[in-house]
Amino acid sequence: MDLAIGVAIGVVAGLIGGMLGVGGGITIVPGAVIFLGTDQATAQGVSLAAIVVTSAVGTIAHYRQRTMRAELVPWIAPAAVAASVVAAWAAGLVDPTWLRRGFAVLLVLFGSRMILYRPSAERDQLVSTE
Amino acid sequence: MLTGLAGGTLAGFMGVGGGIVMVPMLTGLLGVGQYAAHGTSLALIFPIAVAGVIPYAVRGDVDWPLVGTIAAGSVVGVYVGARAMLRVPARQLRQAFGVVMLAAAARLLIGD
Repeated sequence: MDLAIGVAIGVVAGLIGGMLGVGGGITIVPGAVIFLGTDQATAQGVSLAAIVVTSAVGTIAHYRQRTMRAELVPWIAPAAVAASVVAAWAAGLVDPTWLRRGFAVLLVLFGSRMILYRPSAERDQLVSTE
Repeated sequence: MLTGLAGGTLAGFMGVGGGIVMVPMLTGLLGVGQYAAHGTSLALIFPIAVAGVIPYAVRGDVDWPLVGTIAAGSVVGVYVGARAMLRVPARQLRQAFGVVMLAAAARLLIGD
């Protein structure tokens, strides 16, 4: 039964991840904690490990269908990795409550804008012409 | 660079991939088209997740059989999702992403 639940969590996380370009951690962490009784730290570790596999397959799929600006990745990725390592270390030093609230407010603001936004038509073309 | 810093910071602090901030920064700051932003975000999540999982693996906080189970489902899902994205109009894609952002905000406020 747990096997079926695990696979189901993966399918949902993968669908959201592949379609929206996110890792799927938002599905995997609560899914594992609630439905499989995994403890929080293990759920986060499992989530990241599963995202390694998911993002690799997703990257290949998007690259092949040309829905990716691959030339940007070498510019952004090193900063992202460095920032995540520093932040993971710093997370133990500060009270995360206000940090969480701050991020939540930003997400609400940008999320609302995302829902309402209407850009010019050519920005919404299927395959980038740049 | 700024996109990476913001995405990586969120990922490190919260234990998530960071895609939730990278997609809007790719479209907003860098002018990447809507579809390409989702694909590019996924490519950026890969190195972040690789770096992120190492401390968990060292501490023994990774249940590898469970990873295998979830990954078995997610590799199918991610492939189908990426293909399906092509059939979704950009505006709906953006709205779906906005809803996920609001869900992520709710989760941050509720806590773990």
